[in-house]
Amino acid sequence: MSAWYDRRLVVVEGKGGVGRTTVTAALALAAGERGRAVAAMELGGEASLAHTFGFVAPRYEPRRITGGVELASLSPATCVVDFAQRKLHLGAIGRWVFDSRPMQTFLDSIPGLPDVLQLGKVENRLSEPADGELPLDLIVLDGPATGHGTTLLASARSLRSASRMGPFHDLAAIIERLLEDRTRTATVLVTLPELLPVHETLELLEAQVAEGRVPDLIVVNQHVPPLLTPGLSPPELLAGLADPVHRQIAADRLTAEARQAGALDVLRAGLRRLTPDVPIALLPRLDEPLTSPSALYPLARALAHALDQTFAPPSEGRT
Amino acid sequence: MLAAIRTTLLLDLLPIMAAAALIASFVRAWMGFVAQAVDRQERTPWSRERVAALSREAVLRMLFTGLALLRVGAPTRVDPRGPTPILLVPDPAWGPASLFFLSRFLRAHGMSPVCMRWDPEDRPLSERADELDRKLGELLRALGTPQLDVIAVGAGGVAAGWVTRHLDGAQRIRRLVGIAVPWRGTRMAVFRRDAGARELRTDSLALDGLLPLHVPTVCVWTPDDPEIIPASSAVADAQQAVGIEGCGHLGLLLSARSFRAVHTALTSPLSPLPAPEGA
Repeated sequence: MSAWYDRRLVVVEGKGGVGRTTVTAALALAAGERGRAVAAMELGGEASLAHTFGFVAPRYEPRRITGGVELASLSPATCVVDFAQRKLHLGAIGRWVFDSRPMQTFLDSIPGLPDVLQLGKVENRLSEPADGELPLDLIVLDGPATGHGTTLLASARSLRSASRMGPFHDLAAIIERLLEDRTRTATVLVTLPELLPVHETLELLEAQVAEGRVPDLIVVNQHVPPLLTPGLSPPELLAGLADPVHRQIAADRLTAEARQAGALDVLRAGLRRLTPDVPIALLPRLDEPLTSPSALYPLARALAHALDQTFAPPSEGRT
Repeated sequence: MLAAIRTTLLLDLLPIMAAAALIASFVRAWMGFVAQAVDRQERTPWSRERVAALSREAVLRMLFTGLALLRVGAPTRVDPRGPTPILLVPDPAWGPASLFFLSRFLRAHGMSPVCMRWDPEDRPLSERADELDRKLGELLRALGTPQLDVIAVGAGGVAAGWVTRHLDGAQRIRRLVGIAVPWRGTRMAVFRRDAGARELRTDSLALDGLLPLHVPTVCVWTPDDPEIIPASSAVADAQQAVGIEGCGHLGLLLSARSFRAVHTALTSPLSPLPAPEGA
């Protein structure tokens, strides 16, 4: 049985707006606090993760956040140049050729190749760090939003079967092996305890199950903890509040909790139907808005605690 | 018929009442600036800047009075799925209307402010502190959270300080941001009408033992405050202070610099975190 932070790659997926990037950042910090050398990475040249950590712009070169945690933003354009230099040994000529706009346009037009190049960099960073790059124990990958996520992870498979041989075929095969090895790679699906995100998560899950992929964990982000203590009913709570403003706040909260419970019931019912083994981790909402990276630490600790309790060990029976 | 006469009279009197209120605002602000000039032992108190500051303060007095009459106030509802709310404690003399702009600013920055409403009765400071303590406890029960951040203004800040110092507020207030709070009293307290504010004299026994505060506090203050004399009274011992130059007492409740200072105070980590390189 291996803990979640003993995997090499954790891919975080979910619909836009559910807090996927925040969960990615929190996972990276949590693994860092456990002494792992970890990188949080985002794809497609996005800047969300960089912003979460307080940086103005994304950067391809790794940036140290704190302790053993670093941050990088990958894009197909930078990854293809890196691939040309490291795998094809083309040096400055490779940079010149692959950095050119016509070549970038051509590579973008090959289905699945941009995704494979970025995942190739992820794999490469784990297995063969270049000079000046620190060896990593774990990469937490901020995956793309729902819909594109399945394509990204299936891209290696389709490119390998399409190319048959050559460097891209070899790269795709390596990525496919990494992604399919559940002792090395884990997938985390993020959602919110609301009906619409839950339905979208179940749709994504259904698509993944159809492809033979099952996530290791579903994180329900921004979970509101119960307001009522044992033995206290809602009318008793409301009767104990003299100020009508406070009564309204408590009533709103109880209504939100009821909606949240309804959404979680739908999620659990859907999981029972699709993949009964996948555990759910409830991640509490942040106490303060995410205006500084320091606000992530309580979340990272809460997430690490939830993961330690619920993360499924890799099993032979599941693919 | 009577109602029509009453309405006509009211409409006729409205401009007169507005003019009277404006004059009263100017006189009240003028008293503050005279006291400030005397305190600073300035020979020429009526500089151009001083007149501008006086006008600004008088207009703001009118503005906040108008907002209070129109029952415009700071929010009292919060998003149950949002971040833990920040409790706004207004000066009892001004009420939630004075925090209208600050609460809008905080909302625009992803925060969830909720404003306390003081009971309308005139009360001494200790009773105001008890009221705040009771309402804070209720709000925490309604939110299901053990502590929250508090932004308090003027006499409301003194009540909040009292709660942290003499009641068990230190466990329930995580961080206190005091805007123009006369921690060591003000000579202008003699001109205040409400009993609690009159206790804010510089020699008041009610303020004895208030400092140092028992929670991390940021004092947002201005050296040009005509309501807090001496102005340094708005800086609490052993606590962080942010001075906003050229801003009157009520100006702190409408100043972008003041709002930024409050935002920084609320978003700064309680435990230091190394800044990321290149951020």
